[in-house]
Amino acid sequence: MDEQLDTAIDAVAREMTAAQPPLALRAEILARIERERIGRSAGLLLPRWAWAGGVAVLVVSVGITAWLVRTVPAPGAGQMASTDTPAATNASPTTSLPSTPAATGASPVLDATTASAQPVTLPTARPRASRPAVVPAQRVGLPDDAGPSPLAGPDAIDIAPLGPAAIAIPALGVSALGTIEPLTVSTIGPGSPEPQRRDRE
Amino acid sequence: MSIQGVSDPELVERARRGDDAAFGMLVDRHRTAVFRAVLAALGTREGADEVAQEAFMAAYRHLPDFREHASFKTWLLSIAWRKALSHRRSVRTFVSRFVQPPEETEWQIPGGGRSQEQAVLDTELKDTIRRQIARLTPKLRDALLLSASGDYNYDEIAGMLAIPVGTLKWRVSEARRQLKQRLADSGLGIRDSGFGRG
Repeated sequence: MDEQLDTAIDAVAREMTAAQPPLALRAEILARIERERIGRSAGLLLPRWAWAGGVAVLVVSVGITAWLVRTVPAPGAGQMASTDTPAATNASPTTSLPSTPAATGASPVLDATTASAQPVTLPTARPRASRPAVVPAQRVGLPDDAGPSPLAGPDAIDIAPLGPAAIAIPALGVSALGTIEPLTVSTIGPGSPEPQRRDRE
Repeated sequence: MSIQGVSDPELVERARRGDDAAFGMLVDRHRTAVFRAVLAALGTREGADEVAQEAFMAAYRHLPDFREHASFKTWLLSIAWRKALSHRRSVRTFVSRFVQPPEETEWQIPGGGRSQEQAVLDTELKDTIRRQIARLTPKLRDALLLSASGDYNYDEIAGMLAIPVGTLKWRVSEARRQLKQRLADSGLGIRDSGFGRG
């Protein structure tokens, strides 16, 4: 009986894998090989790792380029830093205020006429207070006497103020507050009227 | 020059040099073995053609890596087996098992000289065995199907499954033992049918 069962198991297992492959298998494979060869000769059908490697190199190149662009100072940035006052250098990173008493922190009141009367120099790069100043020639590894760097640009450009003319605002005066009279509150005693509470009922 | 009587290593060498006809001859020689191995792994014809093609294409691309320490058939079958396992583990195959019932392969009733009742009993026994084989663990089922197919020897199957021959033999034996036990538990013994009798 055991042998008969083994025979039955063998027969069923054989039938489960007894299918014939398609007759066109060889032709299809050879056609695929030919297509691959044509594609590879045209450079269109590179292996996947080649495409992945190309993409990786491209990404790294873009990253390095972006880093270099951010690191190299913009033309005129060094000269602007030398003309700014220390207070203005530590101020907002986007706009350098003119060196007036308002900018040095003498008074919190903003004088609109003074602020708009002088030309505003707009910075083109972020000031880097914590990083030591680096001469462009040192960045690229050139000696100091190698002459000006080709990256050096024109001087800082003074831009005339844009927008409408200044508006004269009269000084606003606020009168001082007077003394507040103390409030007198009468004490509550046993005979004084008291509102009834429901929770005591 | 004809390539009909050329050995596999010679055909491989010619294919490496760009002789597509030589590789086509290798495909013709081993396509049945590859296809049945893939079928044993997948359990259905669906996708088996594609996986077999992928196996041959992978073998063609990696012909320069083929070393002569193993036979070309064993090397090719191991590639096909890995491709089939990858396909079996894929989400698409997993979903299709639930969406679509397994394809009925050519399960013909052996009717020569037997009564209709015996033929029905044979069919019932076969269906039961088939269901029980499908319920085996993949390791046992793969070993049993590959060994029972008759297309491979133990060395080739062991190379395909990347296991020692002793482990393979144990798996085949264990698969048979579990099948017999389950058939006995189901009450469908060999005495109930005329299977195997003339």
